[in-house]
Amino acid sequence: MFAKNVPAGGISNKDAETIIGSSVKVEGNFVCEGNMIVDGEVRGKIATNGFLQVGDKALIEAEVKAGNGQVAGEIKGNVKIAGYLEITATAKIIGDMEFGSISIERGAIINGNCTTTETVAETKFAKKSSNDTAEEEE
Amino acid sequence: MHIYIYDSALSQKKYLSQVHEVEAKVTDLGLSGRVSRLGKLRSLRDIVREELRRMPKTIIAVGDDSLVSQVISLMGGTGVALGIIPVGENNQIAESLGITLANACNVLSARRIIEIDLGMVDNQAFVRRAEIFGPRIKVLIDGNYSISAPDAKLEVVNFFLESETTTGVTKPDAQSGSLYLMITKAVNSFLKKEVERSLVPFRELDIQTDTAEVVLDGLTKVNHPRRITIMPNGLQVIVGRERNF
Repeated sequence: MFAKNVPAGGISNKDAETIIGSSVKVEGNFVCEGNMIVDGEVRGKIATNGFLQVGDKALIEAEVKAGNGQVAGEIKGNVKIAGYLEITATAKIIGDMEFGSISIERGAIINGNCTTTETVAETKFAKKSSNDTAEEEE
Repeated sequence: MHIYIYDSALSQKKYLSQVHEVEAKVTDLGLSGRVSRLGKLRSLRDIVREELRRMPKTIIAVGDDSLVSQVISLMGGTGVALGIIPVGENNQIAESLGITLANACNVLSARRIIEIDLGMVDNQAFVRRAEIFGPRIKVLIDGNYSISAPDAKLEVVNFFLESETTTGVTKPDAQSGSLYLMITKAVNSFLKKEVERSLVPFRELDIQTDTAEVVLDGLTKVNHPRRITIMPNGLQVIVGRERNF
């Protein structure tokens, strides 16, 4: 059921290409390659083909697209995850979600439509050593 | 032809024996060349420009990080290889490139050349980092999104030194084709002080604050900087086996 090579419990700073700390505010079209950790504020749009980890202090008002993801913070906007999406107890998501597969921990707040994509793309966790990009396999 | 640029500090008595040893080894290895000594009457900029006109095979900086940074900033994009003989107190750049005083002449002789990226602040090059100072700094990354971080320290990093590799974040690399915006802020938690680091790779960064200043490699101040970009493979440098990247 779950995508292969998705790190359980999120990723460490060393595995992330982009790290946004809790004191940082980002506005605009926040498009990156590789894994991202967001603990700060983002407004606009987030897109990565790698793993997106949204920390429990994060506040995101944006359309979100990623290969795989773990959400512990707040997202206001639609979320589209090609592979596996893990939602932890502290998460609050207001918006529609589309994903390959999902797990939701008790306590999470979700307000929106949920859709599982029919062709589940198992997106690998982007390893920094391999050209910093996510690989995809059927 | 090899051009050796000697730091003015090397005329001090404490460095004489080291310089003599280096000169003897250079002669033994058949690496002799012209020597230009920095002094009060000749600026480094004039010396490097003059020597580059002669189309040298190598320009070799003999001195510490301060001299090396300045020479690199003048050699970016020229295609001439840089050699380093680290003499003096602070030689972290040379160490990152796998060069020590003990192996420097052998490294020159082996002539293992790699290309590394340089950073550019407007038209001035830097090799290692550029610190951005000013109130309420806001930057635009690759024309796509802006970043602000009140009361935090902002700097652009090309590569980490050996001593900086255990900071818990990914390791910027001088051959990655990207510069990194690193934002650090002290965060007080319940029992201890922690430093929070943010890291964002980029190729172009526009500084949207008029009152900003940037200090290049801890040496040169640039007032009212507008743009920080990368010069991919901007410098050819002779490196040792034990380099960081």
